[in-house]
Amino acid sequence: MTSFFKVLCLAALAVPLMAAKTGLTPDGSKYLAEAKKRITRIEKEIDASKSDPAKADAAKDDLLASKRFLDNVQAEQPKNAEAAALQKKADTLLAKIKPTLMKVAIADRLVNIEELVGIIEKEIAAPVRDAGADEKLRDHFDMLRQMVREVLEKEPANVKAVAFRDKENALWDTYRQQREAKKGGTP
Amino acid sequence: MKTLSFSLASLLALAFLAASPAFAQPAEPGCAIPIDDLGNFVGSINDITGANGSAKYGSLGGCLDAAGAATRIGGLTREKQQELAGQLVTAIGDPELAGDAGKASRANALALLTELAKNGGEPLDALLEAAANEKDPDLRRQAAINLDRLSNKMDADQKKAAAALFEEFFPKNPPYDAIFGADGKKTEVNYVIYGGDDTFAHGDWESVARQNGATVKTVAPGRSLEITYTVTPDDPTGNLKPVTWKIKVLDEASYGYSSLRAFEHMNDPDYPILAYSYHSSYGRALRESMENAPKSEHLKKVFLLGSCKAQVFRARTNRMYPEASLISTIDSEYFYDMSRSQFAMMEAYTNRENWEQIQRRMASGDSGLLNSDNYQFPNERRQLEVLDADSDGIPDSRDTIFNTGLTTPPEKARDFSAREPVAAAQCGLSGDRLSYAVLAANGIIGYSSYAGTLEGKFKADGWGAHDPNGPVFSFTKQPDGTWRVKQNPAYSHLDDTASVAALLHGMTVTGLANGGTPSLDQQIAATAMGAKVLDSWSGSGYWTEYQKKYGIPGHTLPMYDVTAKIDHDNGVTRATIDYIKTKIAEPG
Repeated sequence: MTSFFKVLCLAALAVPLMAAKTGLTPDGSKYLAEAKKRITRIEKEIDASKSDPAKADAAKDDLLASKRFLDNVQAEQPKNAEAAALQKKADTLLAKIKPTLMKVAIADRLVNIEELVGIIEKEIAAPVRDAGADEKLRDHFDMLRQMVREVLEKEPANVKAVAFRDKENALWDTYRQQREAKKGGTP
Repeated sequence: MKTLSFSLASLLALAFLAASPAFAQPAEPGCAIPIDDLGNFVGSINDITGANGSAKYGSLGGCLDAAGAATRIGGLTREKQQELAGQLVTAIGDPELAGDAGKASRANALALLTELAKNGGEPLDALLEAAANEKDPDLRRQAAINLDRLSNKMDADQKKAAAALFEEFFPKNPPYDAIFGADGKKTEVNYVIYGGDDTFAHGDWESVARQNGATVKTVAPGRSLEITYTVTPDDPTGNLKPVTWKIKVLDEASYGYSSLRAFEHMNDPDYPILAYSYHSSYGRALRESMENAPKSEHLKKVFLLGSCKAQVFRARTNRMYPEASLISTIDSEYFYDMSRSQFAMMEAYTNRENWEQIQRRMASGDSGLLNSDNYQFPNERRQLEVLDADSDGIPDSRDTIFNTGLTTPPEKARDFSAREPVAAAQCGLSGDRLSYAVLAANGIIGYSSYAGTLEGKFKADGWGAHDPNGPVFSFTKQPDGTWRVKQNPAYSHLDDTASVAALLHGMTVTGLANGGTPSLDQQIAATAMGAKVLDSWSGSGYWTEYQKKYGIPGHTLPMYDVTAKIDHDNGVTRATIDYIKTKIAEPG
């Protein structure tokens, strides 16, 4: 019981002691300690995070939070060397997981594109399309074009994106033929 | 006794000076230098402005030619510049120039002080003092921007003072007092998002909400949703409490833009965060929402303009609600991204993150964006490129004078002929439609594969000379390759649709021909570019008059022939031009 009480007392004293040592406020010390803890952990797990999108995403959240905590430390002590070094380390780690996150973003976008292609196919196949529906179809074409373009800007040789670009052109040709048949009207 | 006689003499002198209207004295010690000889001071002011005036301070309250004044100030000695700066501080503090009556004079005095302060030193202190004393928010903001541009001439203390002023108008933090109450303890916050059918069809709001542990309820109108989302802050100090967000995603724009009321809650303190998340329609989507917007009661808010290229809406929204913290998109924004970014932002607000930290989140993929720099935040200087607070048609990034009392020229739709303007253009007419047209046209031209490289190359530059026989817009190339656009006041009556169509034509021929004589292909592209916006904004009624002015010389075509081959993907293309060529080659 006594030793447990001692542990509690020591833990309670740890933050004020650290605050006294660093010259930071108790809150500043907590921010610094938490940032250090998270960055150290992520640094150890960085290889696993690079190959696991879920881990990369969690690491990104923790690194961004750590950077925010360190901002608070630097607001108190602009020349805090430890905070500056940890900020740098967090940036390096963020850069390491960025390609993994980008791959996820591209994969997500390709799912969105596939959905949108399906919607456009249905809209084009509709036997009747009023002016509002035609406007919406054109909006969807605009969205599709931009989304495909964005993926190809990041990965010019992405096979799926190239296929979607061809699909989009084919759908647009169909739409144009429908428009032409009606001479400016909407099918 | 000696002291007493000195004091008496001083008091007598002060009493004499105070009784004499010709001698303005500084209200407080500082940078102000007494104006001992008003006639001399007025002479100096008139020399600088290149004008005369019968008011107490001569031409100070008149229409100031900033460029001319800058040149003339540059020719003054350093001593004279310092003296004038101090005397301008005195003049600004003159009770006769207080309030709205003296606003134009104070605005010009601040602009002159800015020119005088360009070499730093005491005139810079004078500008800082005048800015700090200025109570009018428009002028205080203008002075803050002017000072910010001079930061490379400042010492550490001056930088600190200037930064504090700048932050008043371009805050580093979201308005947390408005969101969480003055004591910061509010734990339930409303958030309204205005959308339409595609917001729901593609926004994934329900699944994104559920992924985040939120509850979702379907409500009216249409497919509207009510989402309840509780966020536990990531805060090692334990100071922050969990926040429950009550989000309404409203299905309003499905019924057309005319039924959309995106600004209806701007005066309601119970709705501190709002967003528009639907199509931009090339910059016309919020037209009716703005027309029906309630007059500002100066509440602090966060408003996210979340359509594609929504910076086109920023200047007008900022003018209507200057106290609102605006976030706007720079490029395309997808419904898929908006839901994700909003959940990330609510998390950020719960953590009381500053704008820089929120921007960092977005740049790191927190919004699911491939485009990592698509939001322009309230603390950013680059927004000055699209803002035009005084509506003189010159972006805030280059404007040093806040023009007061500008008249909005009455619109005359579908009329591209020259008319007499209702007021003198310089310092008299609002150039809001020019500012808007330049932003909208820059965005639209960006979609064209034939002329898309011109996007962002054109910058508004206010009114040009009145010339009934001249072009609507004139273009001057800058050393950095951009073009400054001035509007002819004879065409101040052009409405938004006509302005954007005419400007697209002008930008295309000027940009593609690099200011020279355009080829037939370039003329065709220019005609088609304007036709595109008429087509997109239901402006077929403008076609006859547009074609008279901007058609292909010697040919009259139906609008359909010009727009038929404008590509959904790449706007005006080589194929568009070739197709129109076949049409003009057809007999009859």
